[in-house]
Amino acid sequence: MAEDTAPDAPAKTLARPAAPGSLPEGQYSRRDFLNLVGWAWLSAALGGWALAAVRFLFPNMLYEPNPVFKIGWPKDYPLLGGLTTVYIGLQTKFRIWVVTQADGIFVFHAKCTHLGCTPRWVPDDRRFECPCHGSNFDVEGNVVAGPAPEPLFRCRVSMSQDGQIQVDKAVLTNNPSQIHADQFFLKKNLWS
Amino acid sequence: MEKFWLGFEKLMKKIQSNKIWLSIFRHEYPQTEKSRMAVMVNNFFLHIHPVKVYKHSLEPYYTFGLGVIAFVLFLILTVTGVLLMFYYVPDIHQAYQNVKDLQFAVSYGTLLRNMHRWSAHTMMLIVILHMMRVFYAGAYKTPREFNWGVGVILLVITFLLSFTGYLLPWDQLAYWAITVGTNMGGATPILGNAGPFHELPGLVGIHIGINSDVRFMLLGGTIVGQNGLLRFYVLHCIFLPIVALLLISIHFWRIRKDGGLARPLRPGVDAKPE
Ligand code: HEM
Ligand code: FES
Repeated sequence: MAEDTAPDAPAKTLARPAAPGSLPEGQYSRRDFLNLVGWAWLSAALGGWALAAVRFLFPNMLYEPNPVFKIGWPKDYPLLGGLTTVYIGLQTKFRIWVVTQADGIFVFHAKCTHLGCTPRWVPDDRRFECPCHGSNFDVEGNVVAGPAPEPLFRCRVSMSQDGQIQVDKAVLTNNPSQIHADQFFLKKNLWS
Repeated sequence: MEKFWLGFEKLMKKIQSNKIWLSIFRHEYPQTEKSRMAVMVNNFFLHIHPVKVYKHSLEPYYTFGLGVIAFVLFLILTVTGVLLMFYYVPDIHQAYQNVKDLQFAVSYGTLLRNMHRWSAHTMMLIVILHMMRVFYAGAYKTPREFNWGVGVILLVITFLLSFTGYLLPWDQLAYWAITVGTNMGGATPILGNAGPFHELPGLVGIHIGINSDVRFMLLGGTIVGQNGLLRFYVLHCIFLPIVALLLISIHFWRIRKDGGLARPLRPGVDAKPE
């Protein structure tokens, strides 16, 4: 009719033919279902594989130096001049310092508590001084300068059967309530 | 003499009408506008670039060529790096000596090693400057946010390439730099053994300790040792360069898809981007 085709008549909207497989809202076709199953399967397979790949990157066996070792007899670490004595001879081999005090011996892990460099013992200052960012520790391991957030760690020590000092670098503490416990401090009466 | 040139011309004509030649160069020598366009369209490497660009994009003080310089440095690093690999073994008993040999005994080893090292330092600087240029030009705005994002990842990859490469000489500087760097990793929140909230994964049964955190994964152990050197080597020579190349390709492709380099709107001609 003439009125219908008038240029200002509202355009008729054509109902769009439904896309194949599309159903009224809230309903799912077989195609939708298979599509979902396909994606679910693919993401589960790839996701599982990705988790396996991440786990793969964590080795189960390590060929690292044994953290438990013997360092000789207490008589090798005498108290000199009545002053707390620091022995740095094992730094390169085991990364430890042996410290002898009037009442016994303990062992530091020679690792800065900032970011892990090896400080050096400076006898004139009686401090361990880290070359990386300048942290300083006193003979007790307390932080006296620099960015280190906590005191030096001490290794577990024990007397082995043959009378030697045994060190376990895998068990460490810097907790003030623990550092004088038998585990971390060899009292002099153990050998004299 | 004239005879020689005539002969030469004839020979060239013959070569250039040869089937093999024509299969490689599917157009004449680019002297006319049409043949120049043909070159850009037909060549795999050149087709990344559009046939025509806005005059503004060629303004030397707009980009300072920083992105291109970064890319050229990446190419130099790839070529020199592959050559260095022929003399370098990622073994803690050999690596240091290999690098010394490269520096002092291998012919042109000094040249190649220094090219690699200086290009690495320069690339770091240039990529940062490129990012600053993009920022100050406001070129990160719509529709270029995605490419800014790609750029951020490229920046991180450039850092990681530098960091992993730093360990390879296995000298004191390398060793302690990576000790410090990986201990920073150990202080990552949640994932590092010394980081804040590292107890949280325990709630789902994952233990985060010295032998199960991100630092351990990166080093393949609890100390900077053989496993760590090998991992850094693989990341440095294979994984990171491949990812970088992929992202650089996307970066370049995206510049064209985003309508070329950012440029000022021409009043009345250009529509404001949505
Ligand atoms: C491997 C490092 C990178 C390479 C090789 C690279 C390469 C390029 C190149 C060749 C261009 C063309 C324009 C120019 O030369 O300035 C470009 C543009 C761009 N880049 Fe990068 N880029 C790198 C890193 C980054 C970073 C770190 C960012 C920012 C976080 C970034 C963001 C952008 C953006 C947004 C553009 C478009 C600029 C415009 O439209 O004016 N890119 N890049
Ligand atoms: S690692 Fe010792 S001060 Fe930073």
